Amino acid sequence: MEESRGKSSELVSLGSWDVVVIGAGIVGAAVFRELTRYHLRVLLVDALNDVGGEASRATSAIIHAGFDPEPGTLMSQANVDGVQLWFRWSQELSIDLEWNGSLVVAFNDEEVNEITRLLHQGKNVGVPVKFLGREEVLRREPMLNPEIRAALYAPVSGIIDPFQAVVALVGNGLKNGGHVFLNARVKGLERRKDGVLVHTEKGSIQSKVVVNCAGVGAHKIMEMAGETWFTIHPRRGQYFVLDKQVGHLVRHVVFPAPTSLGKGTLVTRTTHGNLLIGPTAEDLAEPDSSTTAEGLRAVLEGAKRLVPFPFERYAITQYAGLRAMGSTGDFLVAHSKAMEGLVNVAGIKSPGFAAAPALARLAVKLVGDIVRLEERSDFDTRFEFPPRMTEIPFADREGLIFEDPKYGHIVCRCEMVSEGEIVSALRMNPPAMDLDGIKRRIRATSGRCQGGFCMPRIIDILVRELGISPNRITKFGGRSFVVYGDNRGDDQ
Amino acid sequence: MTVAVVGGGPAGMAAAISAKKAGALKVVLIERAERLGGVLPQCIHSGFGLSYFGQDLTGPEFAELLGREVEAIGVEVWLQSMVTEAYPDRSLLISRAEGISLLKPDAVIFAVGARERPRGAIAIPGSRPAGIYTAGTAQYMTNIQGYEVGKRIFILGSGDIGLIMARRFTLEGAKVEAVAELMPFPGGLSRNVQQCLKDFGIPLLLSHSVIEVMGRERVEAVKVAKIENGMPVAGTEKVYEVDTLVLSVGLLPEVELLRQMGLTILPYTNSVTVNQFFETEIPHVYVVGNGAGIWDLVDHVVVSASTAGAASVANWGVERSEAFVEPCRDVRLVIPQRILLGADEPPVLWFRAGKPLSVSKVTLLRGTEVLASRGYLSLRPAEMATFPLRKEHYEKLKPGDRLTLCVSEVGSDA
Ligand SMILES: Cc1cc2nc3c(=O)[nH]c(=O)nc-3n(C[C@H](O)[C@H](O)[C@H](O)COP(=O)(O)OP(=O)(O)OC[C@H]3O[C@@H](n4cnc5c(N)ncnc54)[C@H](O)[C@@H]3O)c2cc1C
Ligand SMILES: Cc1cc2nc3c(=O)[nH]c(=O)nc-3n(C[C@H](O)[C@H](O)[C@H](O)COP(=O)(O)OP(=O)(O)OC[C@H]3O[C@@H](n4cnc5c(N)ncnc54)[C@H](O)[C@@H]3O)c2cc1C
Repeated sequence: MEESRGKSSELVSLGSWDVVVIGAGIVGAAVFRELTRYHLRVLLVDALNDVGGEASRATSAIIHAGFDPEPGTLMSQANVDGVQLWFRWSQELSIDLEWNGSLVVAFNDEEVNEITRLLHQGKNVGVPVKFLGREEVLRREPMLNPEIRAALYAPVSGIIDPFQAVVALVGNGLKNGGHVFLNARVKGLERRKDGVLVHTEKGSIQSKVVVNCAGVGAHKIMEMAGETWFTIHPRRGQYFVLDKQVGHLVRHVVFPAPTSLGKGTLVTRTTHGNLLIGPTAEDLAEPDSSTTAEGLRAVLEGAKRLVPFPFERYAITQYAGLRAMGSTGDFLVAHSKAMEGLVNVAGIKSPGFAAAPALARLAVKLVGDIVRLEERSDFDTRFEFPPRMTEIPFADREGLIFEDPKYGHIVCRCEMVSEGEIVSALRMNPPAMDLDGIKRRIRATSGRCQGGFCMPRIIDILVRELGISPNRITKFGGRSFVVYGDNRGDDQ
Repeated sequence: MTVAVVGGGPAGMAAAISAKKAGALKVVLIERAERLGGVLPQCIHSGFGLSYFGQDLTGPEFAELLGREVEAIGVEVWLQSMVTEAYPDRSLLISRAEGISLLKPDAVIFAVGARERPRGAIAIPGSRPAGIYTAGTAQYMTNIQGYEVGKRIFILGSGDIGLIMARRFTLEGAKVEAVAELMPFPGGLSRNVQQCLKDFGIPLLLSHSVIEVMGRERVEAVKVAKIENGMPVAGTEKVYEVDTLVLSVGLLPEVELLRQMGLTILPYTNSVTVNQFFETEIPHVYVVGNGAGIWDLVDHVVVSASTAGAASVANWGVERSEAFVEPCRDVRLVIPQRILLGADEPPVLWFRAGKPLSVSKVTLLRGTEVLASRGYLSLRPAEMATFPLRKEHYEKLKPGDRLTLCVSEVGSDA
């Protein structure tokens, strides 16, 4: 049993907890962090090798302004409140968040009507919105298709670094005494006299309260509690990430007018400076986050309608994510109808990222119905990432190199990441455990060569720092092994 | 005067040596890796140096010979030193274990090489498991690190690195199922198609591509199909059960530093324009080797880089009047794109054909006027060919002339 405070580890006590949070996506991470404000023993459990490995890493990462969801729904309220909270959270937790504003553009009468409807809806829920005529839109965004007629402008909307956001929230929770348990898929729930027994692949955990934040798998957790009234199906969204060279093609997040399938294919810069186009909206029977030829074609078509530009020439990677489409159409944050002690946070599709802080606050309230919430006086609101060479003043860079020459050794040439920074990603809490974990924390391998240069060198650093053999190094845990072994070894 | 050479591959070493030979007082060779040689140390096959050293060498041997010369002639070498920023006034910001240095040399020669196009650049659909590598990366892992990259391997792209790696993997005991090539002809040198595929019975599927990657954690299979007009032909799909997909789908010059200096990038070389001394549009700034456009043989890289090294010292204060050259029709690229007039020697134009051609005539045109022409027995996209301009033709060029280099097939060489 490991008792050291604030550990992300494989070795946490399977013993007894006040709250177990299932799912370390943005929602679970936010719930975890908010729970560590109180005198509670909190454990965050995830099936994967790292936090933030599902929808929360394959999203558009837009902090939507909040004019879009239907007023009166939880989705609307949580979106509007979430935006306010992100202002503070991004600063407390040093998460990159840029309030660059969004434009929903209209090409014809029908779409002009649609954005007019959204204008009124936005005003109703108190979101700043403004109607812009063609000239003004093209002045702001000269690369847009000149055939546009008008746009709805929402200044208080932004782009966030989704990887940092999850890591910072989990890291802050760890700092405040929470624990994390990875590679532990939840297989079953059992109501016991004094709480819930959570059966995982790695043993069973007793907890007074369980908060289900399992994303596209949240209905499965509900099923484990005997609750079948709510179902979820995946709606896939595919994307292209483009070279930083074209990152400044647009300034705002540019959306088409929405349809019944959602907010449509958008064009935006990311906080990393790349251009992002997508997503599609494809309803699937089973989770499958593969990209498809048709899907990628549709993304290009959709993006070119907004901005006529040869995007494909600047492609560096593609990905797909799954939205958790709940059967009620709204977000669900409620006590389980079937099992006492279980709180469900389910059906968290877009704008789930924007809404996450507000959803977390709601979930904490429900937890408070079951256990006493007593605020800690020593709660530390802040989290800081290890220093990034490209983001600090010159003299500080020199200082870091002086202390540790590894900071002078650039390993990832595309994103300019030094060996010192890679080591820091392995030593921070929660630590990177695999190649994708390093990528999400400090961007090495995410640039235009996609790790062609640095990946082999990072393997060596991982071998050295983690003290494991090369054939144990993975891309993202499990059996995602990078190499089979050492061909100079004695196996021949 | 001080000449800084950025990149210690064969191009950088050759440029540094020739700058020193031409009389530069101080030549600094800046290399980010722990050793000189660029990609050569990982190319443990032979086939290097046939024309430059007159012997058939392996990559490491070739690098070793050049490295010795670098040392003997007194070039100052900085290893594990990366140029992270370059400014139009030729200042370089260099990150090293000793700290960050700023260097402002009298001339800079960029010899930064190329990077490989990754999967995302060609948007192969499917899942995103471990086990997808570009060929050069796989080569580094196999030959330098000694890792077993895969057991059953599919290779997409028949560029030289892919061909070489097909043989390498086979010798390492892996099974290479096939090599697919989108074009109707191989991308690499004919000698490599023979020695790396045919000799080992590895199938080469022309006009084929990978249309889907399958597998959740590690690659489990790839779906391959015949491609016509850019689309898969229905009914030709075949699934290969492999654990590794290796991509050899092209190299792109590293141009970030050049872009930072404000130079514009040409679409067909994917690098900046150079004159016959490999000088960019910024005086005293040169770019050589794979950074200037992708070369076929290291021997050519070294010869061309030596030109730049010497020029970086000798070309002081030359007044610039230039003519311009562009490729046309089946000529895919031409280096240089600018011809400095009035130099002592007439320039050599390097070019690549866009498709395999048998007996052909290559002409240098000014508008419709034929300035010069030469015959070739055959031209291949994989090979860099030369078009040496004769003195009398060079002297006919006038400042501002816009020239095109064209090729037309004359007949078959049956
Ligand atoms: C294509 C796309 C675009 C989007 N765009 C936006 C946008 O622009 N703005 C916005 O606000 N929102 C957007 N969203 C929505 C937003 O990304 C999601 O709502 C949010 O990321 C969901 O977070 P989550 O924590 O609920 O789920 P996830 O991030 O999926 O996390 C769930 C976690 O639960 C774990 N888990 C599941 N089952 C189990 C189990 N049995 N045992 C243990 N662990 C388990 C998973 O491993 C995973 O880590 C988008 C979503 C998608 C897919
Ligand atoms: C697999 C393979 C097989 C080949 N086979 C043959 C063959 O059989 N015969 C043949 O003749 N040729 C062959 N070649 C081609 C030959 O290797 C290349 O033409 C040659 O290496 C190009 O030289 P270069 O100096 O331009 O680039 P590189 O060799 O790539 O060297 C560039 C150097 O610059 C350094 N650098 C880059 N950026 C910076 C920076 N910012 N700061 C500091 N340093 C930097 C890099 O670390 C590198 O060392 C082969 C190439 C490959 C990849």
